[in-house]
Amino acid sequence: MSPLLREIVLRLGAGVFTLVAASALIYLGVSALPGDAATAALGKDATPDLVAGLRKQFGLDRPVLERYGGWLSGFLRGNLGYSLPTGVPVTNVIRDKVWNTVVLAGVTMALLVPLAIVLGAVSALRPDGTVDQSTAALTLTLIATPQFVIGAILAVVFAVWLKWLPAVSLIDPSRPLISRPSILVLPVLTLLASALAQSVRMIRATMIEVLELPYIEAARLNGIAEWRLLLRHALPNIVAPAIQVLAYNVPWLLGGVVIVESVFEYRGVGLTLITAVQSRDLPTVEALAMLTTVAIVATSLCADMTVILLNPRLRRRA
Amino acid sequence: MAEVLDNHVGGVGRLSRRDLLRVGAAVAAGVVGTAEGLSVPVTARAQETPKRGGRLRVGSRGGGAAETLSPMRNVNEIDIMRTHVLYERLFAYDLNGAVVNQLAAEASSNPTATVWRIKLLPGVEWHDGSRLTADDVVYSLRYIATKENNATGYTELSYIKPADIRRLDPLTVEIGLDQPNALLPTSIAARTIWMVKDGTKSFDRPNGTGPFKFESFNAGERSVFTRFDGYRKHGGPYLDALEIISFSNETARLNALQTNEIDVMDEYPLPLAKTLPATGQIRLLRAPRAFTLTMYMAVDLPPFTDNRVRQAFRLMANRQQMVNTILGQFGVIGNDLFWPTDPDYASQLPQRAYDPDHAKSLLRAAGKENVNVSIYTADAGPGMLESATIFAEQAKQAGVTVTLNKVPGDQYYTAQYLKVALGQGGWSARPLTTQFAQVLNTTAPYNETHWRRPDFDNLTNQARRTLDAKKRRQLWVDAQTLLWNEGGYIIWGFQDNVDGYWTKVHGLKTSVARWLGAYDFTDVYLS
Repeated sequence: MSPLLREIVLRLGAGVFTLVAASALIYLGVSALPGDAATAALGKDATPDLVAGLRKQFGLDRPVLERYGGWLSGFLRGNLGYSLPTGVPVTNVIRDKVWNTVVLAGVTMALLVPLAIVLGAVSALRPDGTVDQSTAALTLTLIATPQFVIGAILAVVFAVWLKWLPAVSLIDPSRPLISRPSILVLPVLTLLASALAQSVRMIRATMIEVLELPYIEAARLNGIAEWRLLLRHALPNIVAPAIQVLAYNVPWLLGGVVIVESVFEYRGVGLTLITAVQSRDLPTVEALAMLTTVAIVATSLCADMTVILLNPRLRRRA
Repeated sequence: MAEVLDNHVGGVGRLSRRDLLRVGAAVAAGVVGTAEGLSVPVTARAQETPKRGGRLRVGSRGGGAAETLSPMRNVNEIDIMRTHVLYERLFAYDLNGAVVNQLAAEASSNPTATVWRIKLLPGVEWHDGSRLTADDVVYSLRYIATKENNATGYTELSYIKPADIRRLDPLTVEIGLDQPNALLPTSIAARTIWMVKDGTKSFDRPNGTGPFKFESFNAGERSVFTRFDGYRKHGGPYLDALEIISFSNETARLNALQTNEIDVMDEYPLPLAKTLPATGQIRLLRAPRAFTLTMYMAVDLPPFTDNRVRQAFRLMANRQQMVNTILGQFGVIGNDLFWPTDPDYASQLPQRAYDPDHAKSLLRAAGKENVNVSIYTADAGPGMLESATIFAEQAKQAGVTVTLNKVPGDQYYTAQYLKVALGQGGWSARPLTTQFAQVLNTTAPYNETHWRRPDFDNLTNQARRTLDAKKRRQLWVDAQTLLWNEGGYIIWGFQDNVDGYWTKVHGLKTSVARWLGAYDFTDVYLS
């Protein structure tokens, strides 16, 4: 087995282990919360009679480990189970929501990558110059501001005052999401604001390091133009770190999605997760958590593989 | 689940109690008023003819994937709203909370109030085009009265045996009771007793008799309804479509109203209502005294086993200060009794005053000076946490230390509720008979004050058996006097229900029973 292949197998094994461990932690954690799906579904109507009836109907009268075992064996066979309060298959509950979040995160990533590299590289070109100073001021402010505050400010300015954009991003399930792109603008801007700030800072730092390396010095002494130096000689050397930085952004982005979707009522994975926890709908919570874990493990694996393949030295060793 | 504090619409049986049984001991045959005759559109401009068409967008607090279309299990307020749009009941509440006929045309009982006959309105159409018959009503009532179906209305009908609900002829239903109930129409006017078509097993494709038909439903997102042209009322409904949109974030819901992504929102937040300019594009609907704000003392738990301590706690609450601080112009003070617009409300009892010195001397006499108590509280309803905080401050005047036992809002009505010595609650309007059955009779499922008194049960049961309205009123007053003197409730205020709407929306109503005129959009039109 080639070392690269072995690395992939090892990482996949670790991923599966993470998945199972996370699923157990989440199942027991949510079960430990006060209240269950029966009391949540009944609210103040929860008389002992009704609660007992509903608990039986939901199968909550069985011990928690037995229920977890049942869920796990179903999950391993590809069955995500049924949403607790309604009995609708979890797949039906989350299908559209996953797509909505993929669109939101996808658009954000598509803007994040070029912007982060350009802004980071330009800032690194003249450290402490005007561009760098103002970028630094802006990015540090954005990093320090919680996402829900950024979202609320954007909504007040662009929706309530200027009336340019909708204040809430309600998706009409009967029409394709793309038919109303304006609802994506504020959520994407909010996500981008903080993700971009982090990435620009890291790419700038890497770029500065690269620009100080001897081979760049040598190239500069040979009279190569500064822009050519940057594009042709320095940039290829920051691709690998940049990929790491951007991959590092994915779990962060998925966390931010929960906040941004709530602020703008964007019906995606994050908002579904919030209401599922509120209604103690364990199968839905688990499905979304597994999905998120898979996304995070997969991106980090992909990023590492790409870095190995891009680096001739590592590639040869692999 | 901070939003839905209570589960039953209420109202007062003004018409039903007086008119229904006016004929007294003879076979009582009472025709009660119709909802239409009493409704007053409050946002309609005078002399303007309603315009047909348009789509009204209502934004409400959602319940995520747990939202349901079933009229048999409504917990989230947004589910309750949808049910009011799609379905109807035999009896309902008018805008003042009085019980009126909805699908019933007439109700009468035998002299002992153990057998009731309900005649149905003829010619009522279901959304699928068929006609309403006694079979539908028998099926619906039996469905709710059958425990295994887990219908939320079961608590209202648990004393009726399904087999005792019978069809007499195509438009008459007879209900036999083991215990006499002179107020049966009032009990089954509760907002959990909806009529569905005979044989309905799944409620995914709703077929009701309400003013709007089902078009689509996405749990936690939105539901759409269209005008039911077969609705029996002249004129309305006028809207082509009604769209109910779920929100999980209150700030987003307010932003949506402000930018007119929605036209109407129920439960407009009070703190913002206080500062809303009266001349803007967004106006407020107000239903006065619709929501009862309470604190409860468990009469069997220390220190409240001594009535002097209960009296002292009632005297040390400065109600006016609480109302001024928390409700502002949107509320009034209470007198430790439920539902002041019920015709049988004991209005002759004096308003309890604020008297910390008297409270102090009562506590001294009871040997409970400088007592320490914790109050169970949460951000789980209007003014809840605020009133607990203010009450703790006021208690110091009487030498009492009240500490806050605060839990997360969605956990309030779970483990500790009904077990603590001092807690808080809130109830929307409902008839006294229903309210007492819910919280004060020995068998009450939500006996917050642990009030189990044979003398009180006697008075209320006698009242429920008495067909003579005057005698019955006296019994209700006696029962309330007992509560006023010895009960465990501190009912410090009544809050208005407030909704927000754009000025282009006309024909909205206000009702003490529920927000947005108990979700009656029949006369609503857009300009």
